[in-house]
Amino acid sequence: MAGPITPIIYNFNGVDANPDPNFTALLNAIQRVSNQGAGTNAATNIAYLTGVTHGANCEEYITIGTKPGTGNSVALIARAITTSLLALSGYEWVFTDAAGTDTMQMFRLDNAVGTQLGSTVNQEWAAGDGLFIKPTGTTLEGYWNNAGTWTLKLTTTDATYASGGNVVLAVLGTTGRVDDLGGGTAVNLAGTSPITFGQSGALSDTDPLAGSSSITFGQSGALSDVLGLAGSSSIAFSQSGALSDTVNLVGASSILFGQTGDLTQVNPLAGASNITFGQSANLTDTLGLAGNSAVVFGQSGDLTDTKPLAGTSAIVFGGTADLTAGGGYFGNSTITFGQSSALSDVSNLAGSSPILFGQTANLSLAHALAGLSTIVFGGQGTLYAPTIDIPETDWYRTSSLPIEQNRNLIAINLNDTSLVVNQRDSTLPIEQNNPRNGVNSH
Amino acid sequence: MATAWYIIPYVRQTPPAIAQVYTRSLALLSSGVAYTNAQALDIRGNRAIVKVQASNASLTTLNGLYKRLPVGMLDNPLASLTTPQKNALVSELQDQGYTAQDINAALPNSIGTYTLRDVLRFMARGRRLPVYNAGTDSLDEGDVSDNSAMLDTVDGAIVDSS
Repeated sequence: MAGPITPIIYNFNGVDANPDPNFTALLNAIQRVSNQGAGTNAATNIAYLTGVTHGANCEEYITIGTKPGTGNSVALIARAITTSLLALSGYEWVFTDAAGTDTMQMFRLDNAVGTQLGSTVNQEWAAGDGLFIKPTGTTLEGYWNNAGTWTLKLTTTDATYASGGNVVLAVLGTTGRVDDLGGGTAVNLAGTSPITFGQSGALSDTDPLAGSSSITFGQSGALSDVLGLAGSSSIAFSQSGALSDTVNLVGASSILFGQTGDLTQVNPLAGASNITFGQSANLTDTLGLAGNSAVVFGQSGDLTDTKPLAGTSAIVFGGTADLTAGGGYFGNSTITFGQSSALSDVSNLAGSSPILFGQTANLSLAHALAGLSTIVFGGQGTLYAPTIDIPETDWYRTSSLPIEQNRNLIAINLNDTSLVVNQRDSTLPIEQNNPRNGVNSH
Repeated sequence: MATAWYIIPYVRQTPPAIAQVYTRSLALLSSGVAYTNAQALDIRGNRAIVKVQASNASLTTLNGLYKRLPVGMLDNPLASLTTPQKNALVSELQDQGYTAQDINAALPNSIGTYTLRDVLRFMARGRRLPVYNAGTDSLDEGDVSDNSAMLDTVDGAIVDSS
């Protein structure tokens, strides 16, 4: 079971302080002692983190370094209303150090009156275990951490408190020691939630977007995911859209931009995603397009990849397009340009890729043209390759289908109007070296 | 496992849990009766509507402890109830704190013309949050807090597999 995704917000480190200045006391106080938290009174100590509020869907968790002693408890209260002790309301996940087996209980607090939700969980605790409450909508989850593994111990429902609130820590007695209080608003799109924006929408996800979510923007939309888009999500922008993923886009997501779309990917785009741009679009991948993705531009499109373009992706440009691969193009991708296009590869075109230019096209290679690719120009096109370095490689321009299927490189000009230039042989008449209806090695 | 609906009171838990002036839990939790699943929905009168999944033997035991609602499915009509059963249901509503006028306004004519869902939604709609009375060391009724939207959630959480 996955643990919390939100960070530790207070580690209790610092000089000893009684009371701990980071808390506002509701009853007695929480103190900081030896870089841990503790109660200051043998009875109940209740305080909330000053100035910290979390949204309705949130996480609160804490490590209990020293158990509080028989009969004593440690509790976290989420969605807390903290205007006064007797107004204390929200959802409380309680660990009690029992004489026999320890227990955990979930309560709803209504003005400090507790109503138990669900059954009591019997679970023996060890020093260093953790407590974690996670309210999501009307679902309340209570977790226990042992040796780094979070286990869901209780799930229940309640709809009384639907808003976010403070983070309350309660410690009974002075024996217990707590540490690493964490939490925050949990925007974890790791499930299978459908998210629909009727018109324009903006979704900002600061945690992993790793599930199989269906996210739909009815019109323009902006999705910013700063920690990872690694799942099998279906993301559709019915009109213009912008998706910015600063960490990873490595899953098998289906991403559809209905019209214009910009996808900026600053880390590996290495998964098996289907990415479709309805009209003009820009896809910028600065670290590598190396997976098995299908990338489709409905009309004009620009794909810029400054690192290796080395996978088996299918890349289709419906209209004009520019594909720039700055770090090497040596995979087995199928690349199709519907109309005029330019493919610029400044390192290598060394794989077995079929490359199809629907109309005019220019393919410019700064380095070796050394693979087993089939390159087809539907209209007028220029293939520029400074070196063709595979031994015994033959290359042709012809108006028919490839005539040497077993050769390493075949360039075909269906309309017989393209220029095929090998810089090394540029001093020789092209027709002399490349007769249209024959094979000519050199 | 079979399922049934009950009205089950809350009982006080002492000492109260941490950060609480008063703690209550369903009497079912301390009844000693074995059950597979139970889902509760707060209503008025320091009690809850509870859907219980248990063996037939356990349900028979619970029948002797708490008020079992006379039909098993939310959409079951109450038309087939006997007059004593209908009177018992009205009596339960009055025990929760509703007046005859309240009941007649929400469920006009005979209660037999409604479904179990209609009656339970009425119960949950008028839920009052508990308020601690330090003078009497007991609970009073606080503000109304409509809890009826959770009825289908409670119902859906337990499926009758008998």
